[in-house]
Amino acid sequence: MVKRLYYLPILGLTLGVGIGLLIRYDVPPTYARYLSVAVLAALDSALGGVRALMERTFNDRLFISGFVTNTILAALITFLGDRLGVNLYLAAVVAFGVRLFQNLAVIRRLIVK
Amino acid sequence: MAALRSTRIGWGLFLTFAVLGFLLVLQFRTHQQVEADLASMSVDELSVLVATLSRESERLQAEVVDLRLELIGSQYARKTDAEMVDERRRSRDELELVTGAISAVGPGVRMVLTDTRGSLVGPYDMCEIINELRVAAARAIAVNGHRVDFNTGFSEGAAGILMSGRHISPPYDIVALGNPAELHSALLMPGGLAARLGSLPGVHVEVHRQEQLHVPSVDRTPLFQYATRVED
Amino acid sequence: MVVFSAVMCVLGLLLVTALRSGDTLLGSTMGGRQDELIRVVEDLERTKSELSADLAALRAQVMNHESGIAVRQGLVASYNAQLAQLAMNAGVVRVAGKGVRITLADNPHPPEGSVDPAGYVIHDYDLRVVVNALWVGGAEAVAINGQRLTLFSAIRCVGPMVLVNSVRLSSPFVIEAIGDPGSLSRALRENEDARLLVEDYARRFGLRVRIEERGELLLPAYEGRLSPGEMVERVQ
Repeated sequence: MVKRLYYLPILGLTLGVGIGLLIRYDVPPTYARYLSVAVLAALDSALGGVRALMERTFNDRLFISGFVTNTILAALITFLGDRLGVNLYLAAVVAFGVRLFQNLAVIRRLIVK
Repeated sequence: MAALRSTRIGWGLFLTFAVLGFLLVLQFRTHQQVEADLASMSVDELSVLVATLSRESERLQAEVVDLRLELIGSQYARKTDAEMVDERRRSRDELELVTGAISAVGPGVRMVLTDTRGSLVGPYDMCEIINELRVAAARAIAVNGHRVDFNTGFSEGAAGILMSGRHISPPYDIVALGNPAELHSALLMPGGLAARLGSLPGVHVEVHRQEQLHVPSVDRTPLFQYATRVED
Repeated sequence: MVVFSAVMCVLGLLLVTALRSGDTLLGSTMGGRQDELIRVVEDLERTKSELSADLAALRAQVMNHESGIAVRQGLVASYNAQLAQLAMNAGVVRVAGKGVRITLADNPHPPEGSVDPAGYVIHDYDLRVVVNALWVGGAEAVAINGQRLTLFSAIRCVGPMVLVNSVRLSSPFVIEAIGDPGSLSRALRENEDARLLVEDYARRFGLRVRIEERGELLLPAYEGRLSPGEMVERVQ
């Protein structure tokens, strides 16, 4: 069962990329920073999901909720930080970035084993 | 239940990764745009840009002012230049007219001198006629269709008068441009030229005033082989 | 729970204050300042491109003028060259060269009580005769007592005086002519009226006549009027 699930992420990713290329939507430059930190968070959640799949600890509800909230939260925190005059953008980058690397390390270990 | 759950998991995975894919593309495209956009630059970078652009604008402005001044100067020069060109051209046109380089038209008199005997009007008479016309301020004179130049001389020919070496024979058609009244009275002065010549047997003199007479240009332009110009 | 609520209250207060102060300082927050600078940069870039366009247009105009100058200078030069030649033809420039000098003077001691006292004096017609002979002999320039003869020049007498170019001249009359000296002398001999004056009348009336061939004569420029009056170019 789990093995069969592995091709779905790849399929989904491909579809998403396809739609992204087809839909010519441009994000206003002022919100570009929020998008980049949101994408970072999304990437981290996605990799967390992959790791959970490989460790057989995958929970779909947890995964989806985590993905959505982290993505939105990252953008929100950056926005708040801009309003307060504090560069909270950095905190989001550090937090999600560190988790990203940790997840990657675990995945690598699991693949090699 | 397990199958349902795996379907849900499948769909969940599929959708989230689809969203991720979409976001990645978006981010990539946005970033490319943003690279070239001012909104992505930091305040410091923008300040530097403002300073550079201000300096550059100042230099451009200074150069524009310089060129504008230069243009005004050369426009003035062009005006005076153009005037000078016009003045030179007018001088040239006038001298061409007066020296006989071009043919001319204007008011004046026409004198017709018939000499049925063919030998009574001589070179010196022609000389006198030309001189009298010049005294009366004739501007251009032609005899039998030949323009009289400053160096025109009359001499005795084998059969008739030679005008600068060219043969002319009666009737003599003399056209003089100038003030018709003045020229007319100069020629027909009592005891003057017309009277004296007219008294010769077989010689008849007619003088007509006209408003539109024309004289041709000189047959040949003077050649200066011995005389050289002396600069002031 | 109470402590927690109190802490949350304080947090809420802090947040609102920070947010509000952030709002009023929006001009100096990073985002606001950035917007301002972006506007300034966009203005400057617009000004710069306008100035560049102005500069390019002005440069083109200046180049036009410079090429115009060259053309006009060329025109002026060609007109000047033509004028120089025409001036030569008109006799308004000084000239030098070899030729002949003829001096005609009245009889200094005319006999008293003669039948024809006028015969002892040089007249305008005498001068005309000599000048005509010189033109026939190929003279390129002639002057009488410093008066250059051009196509506007006339020799006439008013009472005892002779007027050349409306200038009063009196005996002795020095006629200078530039040309081939041999040809000029020959013309004076061959022309009937000139010969009569020089050989016959001079002897008979005691008029002083001298003809010399000169190597270097300097003739002045004509200074009289040259206006065309009512005359205009005939356009064929």
